[in-house]
Amino acid sequence: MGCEIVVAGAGDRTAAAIRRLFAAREATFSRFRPDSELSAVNTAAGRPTVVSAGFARMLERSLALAAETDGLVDPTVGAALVALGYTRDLSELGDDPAPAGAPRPAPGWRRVELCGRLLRIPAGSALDLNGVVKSATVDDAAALLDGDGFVSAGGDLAVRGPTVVALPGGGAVSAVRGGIATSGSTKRRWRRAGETHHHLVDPATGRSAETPWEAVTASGATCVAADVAARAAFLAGAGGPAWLDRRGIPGRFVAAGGTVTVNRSWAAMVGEPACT
Amino acid sequence: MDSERSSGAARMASARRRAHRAKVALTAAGLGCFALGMTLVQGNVSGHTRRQARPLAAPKRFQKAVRRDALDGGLLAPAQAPPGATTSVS
Repeated sequence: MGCEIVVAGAGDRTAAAIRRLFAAREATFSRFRPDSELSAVNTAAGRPTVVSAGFARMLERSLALAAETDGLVDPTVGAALVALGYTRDLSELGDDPAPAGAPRPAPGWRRVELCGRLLRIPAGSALDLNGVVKSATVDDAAALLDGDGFVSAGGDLAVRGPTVVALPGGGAVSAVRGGIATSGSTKRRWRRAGETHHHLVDPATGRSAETPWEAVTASGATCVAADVAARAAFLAGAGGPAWLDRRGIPGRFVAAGGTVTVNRSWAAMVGEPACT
Repeated sequence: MDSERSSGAARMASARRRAHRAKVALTAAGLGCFALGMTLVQGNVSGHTRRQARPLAAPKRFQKAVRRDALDGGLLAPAQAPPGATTSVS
């Protein structure tokens, strides 16, 4: 999944099981592996395809979260990412003098037809499930832990028992239950013809989202909830803190200049003054 | 001769009318018996629905609650110790 995985509180056998779990998910859901099931689905766009039960479950979850975020976190942004030049693993993605392609707005999660294991995505579209898959795998891996501990993939955590977590821009918080995740534009970014792009794409425009935030951290009942909430709040722009507050989700926002603000839900739990 | 022919035609017409009425009465009786039988079966035989069938899917309200729970907030507290883990931009 192109990120570092850290596990605390696991014996050798559990650690091996977690390693196998991440490898299996990577093999199924990688957009960059031509032999993955996701690549097969994207290649068959426009035609009905029978997918595995695990794939159908993960996609169903992605679609439910797309509905819950009012389409902010949409699994149909795959073609938009390809058009912007995110075609390989980030480690292989350097500056490219060639310009990015024309922006391709996402067709929208409502146009994905999934009935049991039978799937059809709109012709010319592509799915990108990386965000949900990574955080769901973190949750599943944390469920394998024998006792207290945590699992982290690229900074998205699921905890079993209270864990003190260092935050972007300084400071720390104790995650008592659930997960904590950060989304932002500072890591997965690349340049095309001098223009910088990042992976958090606005589904409506097909362009990398322009928001006041550099990083958004959210805490969820699960790592998936935290990750999706963080991404949605990032994409919601200046309305991100209020968007999370309406759902009772704690959020912490680092602005481009490094200024840190938190929403009311975060302030109520952690005791920091909230932004107004 | 003519009077014999006309009385025969009248008897035929009368017989046709009676036959038509008998058919209508038999059809109506058959439909009535079928409807009565179906009603009795629906009310008394297990496996026949007594009320309109409802879909097996979870009610919309329940689905909505589950969806909302999928994006539920976590539980945080002020840090009382040095960090043991890190969340960073992914």
